[in-house]
Amino acid sequence: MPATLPESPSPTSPSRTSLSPTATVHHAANGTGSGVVQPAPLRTAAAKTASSKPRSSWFSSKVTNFVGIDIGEQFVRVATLKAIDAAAGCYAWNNRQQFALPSTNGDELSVGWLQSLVTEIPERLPRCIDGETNVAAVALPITWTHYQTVVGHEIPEMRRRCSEMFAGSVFRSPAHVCHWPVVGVHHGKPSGDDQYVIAATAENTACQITDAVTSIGYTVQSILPHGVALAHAATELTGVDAQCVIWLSHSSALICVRHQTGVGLTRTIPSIPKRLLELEQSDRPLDAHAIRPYLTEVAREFRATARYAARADMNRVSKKPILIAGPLGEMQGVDEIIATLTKTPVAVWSYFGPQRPATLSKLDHVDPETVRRLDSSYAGALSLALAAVRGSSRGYGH
Amino acid sequence: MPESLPDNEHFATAVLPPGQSAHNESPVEAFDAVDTPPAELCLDSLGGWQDFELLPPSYRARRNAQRAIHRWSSVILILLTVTLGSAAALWARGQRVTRQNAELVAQAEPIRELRQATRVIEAENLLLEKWCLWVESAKPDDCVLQTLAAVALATQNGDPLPPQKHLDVQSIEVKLPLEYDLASENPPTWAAPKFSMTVTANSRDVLMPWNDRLEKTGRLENVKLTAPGGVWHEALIQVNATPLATRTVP
Repeated sequence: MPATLPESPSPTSPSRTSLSPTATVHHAANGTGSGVVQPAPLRTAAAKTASSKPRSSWFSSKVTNFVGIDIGEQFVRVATLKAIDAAAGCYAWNNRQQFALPSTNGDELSVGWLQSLVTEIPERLPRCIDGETNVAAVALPITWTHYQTVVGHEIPEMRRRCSEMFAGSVFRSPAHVCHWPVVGVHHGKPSGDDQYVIAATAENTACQITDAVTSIGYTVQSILPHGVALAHAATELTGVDAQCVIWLSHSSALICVRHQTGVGLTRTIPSIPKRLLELEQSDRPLDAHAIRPYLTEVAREFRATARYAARADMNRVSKKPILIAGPLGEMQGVDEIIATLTKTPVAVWSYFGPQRPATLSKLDHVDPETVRRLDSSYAGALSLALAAVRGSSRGYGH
Repeated sequence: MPESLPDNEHFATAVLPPGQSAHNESPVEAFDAVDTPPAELCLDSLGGWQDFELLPPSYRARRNAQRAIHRWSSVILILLTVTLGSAAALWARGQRVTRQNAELVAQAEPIRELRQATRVIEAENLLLEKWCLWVESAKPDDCVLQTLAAVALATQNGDPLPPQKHLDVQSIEVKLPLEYDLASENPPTWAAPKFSMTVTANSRDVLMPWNDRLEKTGRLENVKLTAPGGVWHEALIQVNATPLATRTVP
């Protein structure tokens, strides 16, 4: 029970040191609590998909890269997973890259800006190496995606309404809706009476971006909602068996609940207010205490979500840690504040795996823990890369 | 709480699974009970109730169709190339054969002329032969006369003989071979050529030279002199022979 746990840093029992609210679970090597699992999952889950690896042609070397392209509102982040030992299903983080997108004029999406995005992205994406297969999974910005919870019967109706909504927006396109049940399969097969999360995005824009990414040689296997990618890949990439993943970036925020068989409730939560962002200056970057009011709101949303998810799962509120991902997660102290506010252990999303890209030289003298926090920006891209590993040419989950 | 979240009452009656109610007493055990172990991801479509894919299936279908079209069009292009190539090769060979044949024809021109001349000559020959036949068929049959003439020549040899040595021809009969049905094996008696002559001889010693001369005429075969009753001194001599004829009388 959250109320029985102390708010002070002093642990109640030695065995739960790393799970006390203010102590953060940084990565699995430090974790001894029940929320932390050992490295096995990355191997096992990937081993299942090793057989479905795309066949490489006779003339190319048999190298397949799994690329996650996380298109955000301001930045595009790309992460590449490469098979160390495809038969054993062992994958390593091979490469990371990020580039800024052209800024929106006055924060309003416009058709012209969307078009510039479609031309900009293929120009700035890392080039493919000839002879290598690059299987990519793409995520569209969270603000372009509409998440909602509906009853199963209403999904066709919602599909129509989302289409109207996206047709009336700047996208001028019908919507494509994906959906999954809030309650996991471990509680039985879902039916029309159950609650579903839908994620809708503009169909034409998705096709245009896929075309753009395909045009420079990537094989786009799927476009996934952030929530699905983050929740499905969290344990395997971070080694933390979290109850939910919270994505906090400068212009969007998302919470997705994990349950035993995948992703459950997923919601967008209010993004950081502009007046807080305006506090940021070049000489004095934004710090966790400055955005504490916003984090309070995040904690409130988390509590509401967790309560709802626990009811849906016919369980009590989970004690597993929260994973904080996204650029705001890099900020020192954010995890501590959220842990204090929610009285739940918090881990910052950081990659846990056999191999990672070389650390930038400017970070050579920085504390390695701080460097690891920087992974959280790449949480989306890495999760998508793992989704690309899992996916097949017929799409993710088909 | 956002409007997408249903109100709390909706799940207020939700029952906990029976296996977990036993652990509710102590907080430590409850902690373990709620933290269920991580299980396998369920990516199945669950009969259409779960679909994570945001890439529209129509786009994927179109991409696959395009890929198939590219693949098939390249296959068709290759086949077309092969077909056109072989057609061109065949055409070239046909041209070459035609040219060779034309050359052969040109070289065989004298032979052709020769053959044509031969054919003309053959035709002329045929015409001439026909004319010959016509002429021959238009000629009256003088075999009887010839035979008679030959007999007369053989009888009256040189100088007139003294009356003692006369041969008086009583009767003469010439029967030329008649046309008969070739189907029958042996010629019927009525069709057989026949020559018979009855002569009265006044002297016996002219008979033998006469016989020789008759045989030498070439118009008679199997000349046989017989005396009826076998008496040579009697004057009546019967001559039997087969006359030769150029053709049968129809």
